[in-house]
Amino acid sequence: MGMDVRGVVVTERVGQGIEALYRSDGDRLWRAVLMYAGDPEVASDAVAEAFAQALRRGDAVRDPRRWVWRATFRIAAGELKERRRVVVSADEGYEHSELPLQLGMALAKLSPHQRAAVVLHHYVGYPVRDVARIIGSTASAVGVHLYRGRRRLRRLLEEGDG
Amino acid sequence: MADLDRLLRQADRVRTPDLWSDIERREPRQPGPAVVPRVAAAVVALTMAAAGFAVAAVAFLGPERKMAEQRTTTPLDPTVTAAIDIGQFPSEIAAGYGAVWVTVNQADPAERWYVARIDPATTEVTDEIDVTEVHDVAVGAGALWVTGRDRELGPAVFRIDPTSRTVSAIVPLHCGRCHADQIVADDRRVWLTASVDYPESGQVIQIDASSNTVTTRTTLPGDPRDLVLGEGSVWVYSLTHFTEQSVAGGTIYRLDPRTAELVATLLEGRVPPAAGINGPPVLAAGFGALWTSVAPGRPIALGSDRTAIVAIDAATNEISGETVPLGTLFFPFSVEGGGVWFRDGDADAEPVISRIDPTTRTIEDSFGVEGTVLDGVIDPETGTMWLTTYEGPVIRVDLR
Repeated sequence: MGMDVRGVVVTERVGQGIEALYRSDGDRLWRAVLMYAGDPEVASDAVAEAFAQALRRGDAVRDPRRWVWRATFRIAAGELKERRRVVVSADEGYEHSELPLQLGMALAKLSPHQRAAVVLHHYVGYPVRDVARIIGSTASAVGVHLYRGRRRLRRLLEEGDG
Repeated sequence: MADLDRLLRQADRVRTPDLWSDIERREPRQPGPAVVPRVAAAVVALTMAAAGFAVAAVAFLGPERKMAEQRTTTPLDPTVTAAIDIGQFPSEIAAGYGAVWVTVNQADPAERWYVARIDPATTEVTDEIDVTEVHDVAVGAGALWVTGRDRELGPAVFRIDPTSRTVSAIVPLHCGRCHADQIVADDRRVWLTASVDYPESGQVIQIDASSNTVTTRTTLPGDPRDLVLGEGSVWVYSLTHFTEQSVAGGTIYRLDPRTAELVATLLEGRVPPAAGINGPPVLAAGFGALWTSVAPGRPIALGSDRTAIVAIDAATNEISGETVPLGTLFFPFSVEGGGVWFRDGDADAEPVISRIDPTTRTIEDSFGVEGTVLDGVIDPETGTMWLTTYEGPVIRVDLR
C-alpha cells in the first residue's frame, strides 16, 4: 500500500506517522516559530515545508520529530534572511505577529539566536543539547544565548513592572 | 523564572492554522537538513578528524620548532590543581587583596547575583556578597568594583570593601537604560564601558575612586564592550560594524586617561567580534603594546585561517612585529607571568589556553581545559591562574 505525494511513493505507515507527528507537535511548533520569526506567514510556510519534505523523504528520516523541528527552524531562518525581516533593532517587527503585545515586544528585543534558544528551551521544553541540534549550534553556545536572553527578558519585565 | 514562563505562555493564546492539507499537496522546494547514513557520517567524521589532526600537527609543530630555538620565556608546566563549584553561572573573575573574586548569577530556582570570594590557599568559598545584579568585577584603589544594576538607582557601580566584604558605596551611572558592562581600575580611577544607544553609540565612564563619583563620560561609536588599562592608555573595544543579522567587526579606541579624550582609532572594523557571556576579553595591554586580533573581510569570517594575533605598538599606534596566524578567535586575559595569556577556539568551544611570547611571538605552554572558559586571571600574589567556565567550576591552574 502506498500513497502518491507529488510523484513520490510514501508508505502509508510513514504518511500516517508524519500526520500523527503534525497533530501532536504542529501547533507547538508553529507557535515556537512564530515567536522566533515574529511572522505568521513565515511560521506557516516553514512548518508546512518541513512536514512536506519529511513526507517526501519517507523512511530516510530516522527520527522524524527531531528532523522536522530542525528543518522548520532552518527554513524559517532562511526565510527571514531572504525576506530581510530579521529583527535587528528594538521595537522593529512583531507588529503583525499576532502575539500578545507584551510578548511580541519582549521577543523583538532579543537576537535571533537568543529568541530561538529561549523559545525552544523555556517554551517548548527542549533540553539545551536538543536546542543545539535544532538550531545547528553547540550546547555551550546555546547556554550563552539562554543566559543573555533570559537576562534581557528579565530586565524588560522589571522595566514593564516599573 | 516564573515571570518568564508566564510571558512565554502568552503564546498559547494565539490560534494556530491547520496546515495538513497544504502539507499533503505541497511540492517541497528547499533542501532540509541532510539525511546522512550513520556509516557514511562516521567515515566523513573520521576523514575530517584526520585532516584536522594533520592541519593541527603542522600548525603546532611549526611554532614548536621555533620555540625551541628562540624561546625567551621560562618553560612552564601548567597543571589543573582545583575545580571549585561556586554557583550556577560563574562569569567574570579578578584577583587581589588576598583573594580571587568571581561574579555569579544563580538563575534557578530563584534569581540571585553575588560576588564569591575564594581563598586561594584553601580553594574554599569564604564569602558571598549579594548585589542586585552583577556584570563584571575589577580590583583597584583599595576596593572591588562591580558593574551592575541597582533596583532603585538603575545602572550602577558597586564598591565593595575587600576587608569587611560588604558593599560600601553605590555609584549611580545616570545613563538611562544603559547596560554597564566591563570594568577596570587602577589605584585612583575606575573605568567602565556602557552600552547606551545600542548599536549606535555607547560611553566609557570614569569614576574617581576617592569620591565615588562619575567624573567623565566619553561617547564612542558602536557598542563599547571590552576595555583594558595599560601602556599609559585606556583601550576600548567597540562593536562598530554590523550585518543585517549580527556583528561584523569591531574597532579599538584609545583614550588618554588624564583627559578621557579619544586619541586614536585603530583597526577600524577589523577586530573579530566577541561573542559570549558579557563578551569575552579581546584586548590585553603589556610589553609596550596592545594585543588583539584581526581578520580580513566584512563581515569577518570567523574561523578563517587568516585570523591573526597582532600587537599595536603603544608608541606609534601601528601594528608592530610579526603577526601570528591563529585561525580561531583570540581572547587574551592576562599579561602576568612573562607573556600574553589567551584562550583560543571558537567563541563557545572547549578551549586551549596558551601563552604568546611577546618577543618571539611564539605560542607556548598550551593546555586544554574542560568546559567553556569565560574569563581568566593570574593572581599576581600567588602566580596561579584562575579560570571561570560556563555553568561549571572555577578552575585553578598552577603554572610551575
